[in-house]
Amino acid sequence: MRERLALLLCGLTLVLATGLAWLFAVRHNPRPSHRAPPAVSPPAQSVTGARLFLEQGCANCHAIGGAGNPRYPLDGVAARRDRAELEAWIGGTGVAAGQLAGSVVRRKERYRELPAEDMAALLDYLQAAGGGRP
Amino acid sequence: MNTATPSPRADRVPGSSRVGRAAAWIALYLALALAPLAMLLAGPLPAGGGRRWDFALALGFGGLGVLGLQFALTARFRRATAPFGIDIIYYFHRYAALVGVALVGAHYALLRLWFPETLGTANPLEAPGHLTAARVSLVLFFLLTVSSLARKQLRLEYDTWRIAHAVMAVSAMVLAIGHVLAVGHYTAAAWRGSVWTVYSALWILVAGYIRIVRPWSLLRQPYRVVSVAPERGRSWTLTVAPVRGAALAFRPGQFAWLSLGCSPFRAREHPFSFSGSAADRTQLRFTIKELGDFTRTLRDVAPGSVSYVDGPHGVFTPDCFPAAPGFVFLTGGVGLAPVMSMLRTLADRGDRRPLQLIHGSRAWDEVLFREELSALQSRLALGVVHVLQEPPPGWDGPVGVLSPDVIAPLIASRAATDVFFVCGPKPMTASVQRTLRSQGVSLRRVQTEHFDMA
Ligand SMILES: Cc1cc2nc3c(=O)[nH]c(=O)nc-3n(C[C@H](O)[C@H](O)[C@H](O)COP(=O)(O)OP(=O)(O)OC[C@H]3O[C@@H](n4cnc5c(N)ncnc54)[C@H](O)[C@@H]3O)c2cc1C
Repeated sequence: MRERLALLLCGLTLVLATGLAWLFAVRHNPRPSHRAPPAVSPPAQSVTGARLFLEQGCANCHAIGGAGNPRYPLDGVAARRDRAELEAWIGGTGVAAGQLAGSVVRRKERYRELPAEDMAALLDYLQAAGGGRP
Repeated sequence: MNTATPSPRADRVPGSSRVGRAAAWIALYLALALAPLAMLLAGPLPAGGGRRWDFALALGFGGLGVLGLQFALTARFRRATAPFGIDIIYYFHRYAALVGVALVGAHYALLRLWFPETLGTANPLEAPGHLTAARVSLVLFFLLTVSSLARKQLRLEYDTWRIAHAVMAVSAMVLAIGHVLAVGHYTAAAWRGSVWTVYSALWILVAGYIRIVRPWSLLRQPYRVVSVAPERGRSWTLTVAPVRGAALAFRPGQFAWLSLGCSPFRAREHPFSFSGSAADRTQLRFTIKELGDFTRTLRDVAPGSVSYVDGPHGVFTPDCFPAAPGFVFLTGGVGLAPVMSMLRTLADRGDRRPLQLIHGSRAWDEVLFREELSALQSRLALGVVHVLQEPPPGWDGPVGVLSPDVIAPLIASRAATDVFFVCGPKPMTASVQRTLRSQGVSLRRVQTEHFDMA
């Protein structure tokens, strides 16, 4: 009988934990999640940018076209930031340095050393995906 | 009520208050296990990442809550384990930990499935530290599970397994907490920062209690081996006496974790039931069957060796049933040890309630405490029935194991009133429980002790 109770309590824990997790997900996101439609196939020059976005670990924290961490989506980012600002945010310099947590700035330091053509490709991609100002 | 023995520290009260306490501890368990999820649900947080994302994330919090609690489950807190019996707590631990690992595994699997890009490379040189911490933690939890479920198949020696288990569990937990705090999206918001720190510190403290405080308190109450005497059935009775003061007080049927000839910090301890009378406060007796690595070395233990006794634990005792009109004991092999303690104690107390022992052994020569059992019949209202698998010529008692046809007729007259104590090999315990049930014995009057809890 004690064994039965123990197993029952385990089952209850599983159900409650899963249920609460789901409840949280629904309450915290009143509208059902939908992956943003994949970005219109990016122009040739930003194929490299898209690859770099994944390879360089940008997707650990950001998403574009539904790919990556949805917490900080970058779709449409180019409508808010121009190319110079985008570069500052990538490297955690200038205005971005003041607004990011120290650990994030440290993590971004490595992007300051990106070869110029890679940085250019990444910026092209962000601007294409963001559909914003040149 | 029992007045002959001073009340041991294990505060157990029989009857309905035990059910009440059990319910309270279960509620506390659920509250602590689900606390991380409750913290998510309580109040303002940064914007969500979509239902799927937040669901996958919350599963991780849920898993961590359940896994953190495992440290408390196995810390042998007497008050918390008393209403259930510590053997069942370990049984519970095995499955509850599986639930935790499943939740954490689902957290990872769903992220992998729905957001593969987020995880990026697994190369620890490239990947962010908090993701590497999570990966290592996940691997450790996986190894913990496999090494525990398949310990016997993997031929891991118990003591080695146990130390590895503790090291892996603490490392996995520290890494997982580090991962959560470093990601920080939801844990840093509003008042949560400090609550999270306290909640995480709690599990580290519990681990510290198990490894440091408890062994240290044992050091202050050392025992010395008085004798190791052979018994029938490849068993030994080990007697230890306190170096100073009285031996710890226990209730008959309880057990202790015993360290022999080594420091309690080594964590090389084994659980054994007290087999002596609880009325004797000068020494403690254990009756131990030679089964494996540790128990085989008993014969070489020299009198005077130091030993440490962590106890008493367990609720397998007639003292929980002061109003029972009588007791029936169903035992196999060394499962008789805790029952011997009950019989000797009841005899010392002059208890006159009717008692029935049905004991299974392999052969007549291997019947543990054969002579003493017949002597006890003159001091107690005790009936003894031996069941033998290999009976000698001319044996007219029951043959085989404690099967339904053997025990049903013997207990029929007591099924409606007495309290039953069952202790023996796993298959025996399971089958006897089924028999008792079919005989109409209410489950509340059936007490079991599992010797095989790890
Ligand atoms: C509550 C309780 C009361 C017990 N009372 C008695 C008793 O009175 N007399 C008796 O002979 N036996 C008793 N046992 C069983 C005893 O603890 C094991 O037989 C003993 O620990 C085996 O150790 P070993 O190294 O010789 O055997 P191994 O061959 O190394 O181990 C055999 C099996 O015993 C279990 N075991 C081994 N070491 C431990 C440990 N440190 N902690 C928990 N389980 C372990 C494992 O399942 C292992 O697979 C009791 C067990 C429990 C849980």
